[in-house]
Amino acid sequence: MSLTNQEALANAYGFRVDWPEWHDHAAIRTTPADGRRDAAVAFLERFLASKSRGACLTIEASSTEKYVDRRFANFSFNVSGSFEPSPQCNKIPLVLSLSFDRRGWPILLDRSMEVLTVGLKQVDLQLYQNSKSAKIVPSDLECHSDNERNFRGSLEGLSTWWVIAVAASDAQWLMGKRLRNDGADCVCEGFRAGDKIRAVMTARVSDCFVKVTGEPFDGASKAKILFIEHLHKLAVLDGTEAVLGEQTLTVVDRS
Amino acid sequence: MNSENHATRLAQRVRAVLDASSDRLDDLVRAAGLDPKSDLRFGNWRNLDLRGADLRGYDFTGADLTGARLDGAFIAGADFAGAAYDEASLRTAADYKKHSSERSLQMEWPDISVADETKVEQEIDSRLSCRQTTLRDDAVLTGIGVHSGLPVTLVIRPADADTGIRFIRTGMHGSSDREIKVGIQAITATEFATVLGDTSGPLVSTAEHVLAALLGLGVDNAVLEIDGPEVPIMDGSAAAFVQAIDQVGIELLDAPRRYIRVLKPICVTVGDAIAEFRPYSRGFRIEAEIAFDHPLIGRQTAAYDGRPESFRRNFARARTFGFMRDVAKLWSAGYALGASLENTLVVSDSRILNPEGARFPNEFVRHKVLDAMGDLALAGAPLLGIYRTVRGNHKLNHAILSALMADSSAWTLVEAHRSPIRHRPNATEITYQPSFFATRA
Repeated sequence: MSLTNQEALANAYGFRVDWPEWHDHAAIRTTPADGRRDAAVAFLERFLASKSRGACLTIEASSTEKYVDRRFANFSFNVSGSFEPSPQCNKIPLVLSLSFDRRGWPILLDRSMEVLTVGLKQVDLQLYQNSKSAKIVPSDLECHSDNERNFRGSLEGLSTWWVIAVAASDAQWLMGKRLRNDGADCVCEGFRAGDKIRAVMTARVSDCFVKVTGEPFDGASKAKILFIEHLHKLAVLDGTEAVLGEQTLTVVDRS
Repeated sequence: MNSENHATRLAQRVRAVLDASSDRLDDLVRAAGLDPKSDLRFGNWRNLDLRGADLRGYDFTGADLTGARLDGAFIAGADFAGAAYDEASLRTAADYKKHSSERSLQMEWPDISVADETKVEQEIDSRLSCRQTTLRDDAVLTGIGVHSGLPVTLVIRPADADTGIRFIRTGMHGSSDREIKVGIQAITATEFATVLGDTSGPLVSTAEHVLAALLGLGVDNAVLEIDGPEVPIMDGSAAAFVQAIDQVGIELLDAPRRYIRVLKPICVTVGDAIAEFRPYSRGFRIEAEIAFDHPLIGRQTAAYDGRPESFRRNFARARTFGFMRDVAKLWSAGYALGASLENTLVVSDSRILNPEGARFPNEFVRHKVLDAMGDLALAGAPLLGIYRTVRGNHKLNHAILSALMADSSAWTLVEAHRSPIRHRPNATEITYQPSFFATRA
């Protein structure tokens, strides 16, 4: 921040730019308790917080960028339909929609009409935030295990991170849709206008499953079949690990 | 590459694999034209017959190799980080010895965010180095114990390689001196401080701050001679210990340094408190979060990136803290008898009572990081991994350290012989940005 701007702020908010606290937030303060002054970092925190008070915050969600194929795996976060931004509320509920192709990713091999299908047994979905003062409070995603859908999302680690896996152990891969427009799969608390949240869905080859129909590799050894399955997983993910999709959520002031 | 090319290439690879005369993985990799340094990671190689295979330089990160036979295989330079495999099978490889000696060199070192070459070399020598360290001379500190209120003198003496950190309790009236080696087995209580002892009972209390200073500055070997039951509290932080160690200096020894490398996630929860270890490719890191229902504290977070300079600047000065409302309770229980505004950050319902105020806006959580460092020093060797704690305390730190140590598949001891520098990135600040690929095992 330029000195001119610092001085303008100083005039407006009652501090002086020559205070040691303004230059060194770790300065050991010698003033009495009632005369203690904010360091620049703390002042800016308070200043931004005061700006956020009274704001009607909500979240604008970008469309999800797909890096593999939207039919294979897709997700999107959106603000809960019943949420009304208001100055009194600093908690923004988000809902998550998910979809996984029931058919997996069939690959027609050569001209021999042999088909191998790659499906996802598991994906990871993680939210990254750039605000230190805010937090995201997530919930487990309910379990769906029927003919239409087959997945559940459990929380992992300390950051906002779901592991979305097949719900029924006898199922081969993630399939079906979860479309939601209301409720709260996670609640964003303490964010300010301009803050960004990044949602990323990822998978590795170890998260994939390959279904081999019939016996297309007649006589091939188990080692070769394992290797060919790995080649198919690599081909679908275009590497051993891949970002399947990514979405940016921006906190905006609607007041 | 368009999808048709993709499909054609896949078909060619499959055909090449089917036509290959051998079933061995290295032959199939060559036939398919895969890059063994990247394309086999996270793969399913269960029960494969890898006897005699040339797997040198292969990257098996995160792969499943359980049941795979490796008799006579060549594995020097192969990376098995996060992979599932049978150590017994690995031992049957033709060049297992070479591989295991190289394994210690494959450690990825913490970032060095110092641009200046000389300083980089100093950093490497003083901490990242492969060599063990001790003090150049005796460092002497006198003070009082925060819980006992008793005067005490602590002398930190140099020690030979492989001594580790040891306490010698002197001044035991009518009985001989007692010695204990700092380690997880030495913990006898964790109520308000870390108390170390042996089968004869507790020996020394409130060890965490001096242990944090030793770990933070990279001191592997020292004998701490103490003539009272409690390490002096000094100003409630590790600053005095850091200053004393800095004054006498740190000396490199000839012996190689050993690290405990975290191999898989370990998590412990107690009520709403959580502690977690995870593998971390960049060395050592602590991330802490606290949440107090108090207007001056609230939710605070801090992260320590494993560098001594970061420890000195950001964490060594963070003081122990307490609430005025708890004082009577602590005193009646015989704790905090030596606590004062000189050595404790004291918080009333609405303000900090210390006239000088807080040293950092988030001094509370920084002190939690300091305490965690002291407690993790009880592992007996520096850790390579990431430690995350939410609403943590000594008890939780010890619980997760015990859980880690109890699971022999969750860690391994690695020894450094040289100091290869894998990373020399630009300076990075200690912001918390969880990394999917770095943290998932």
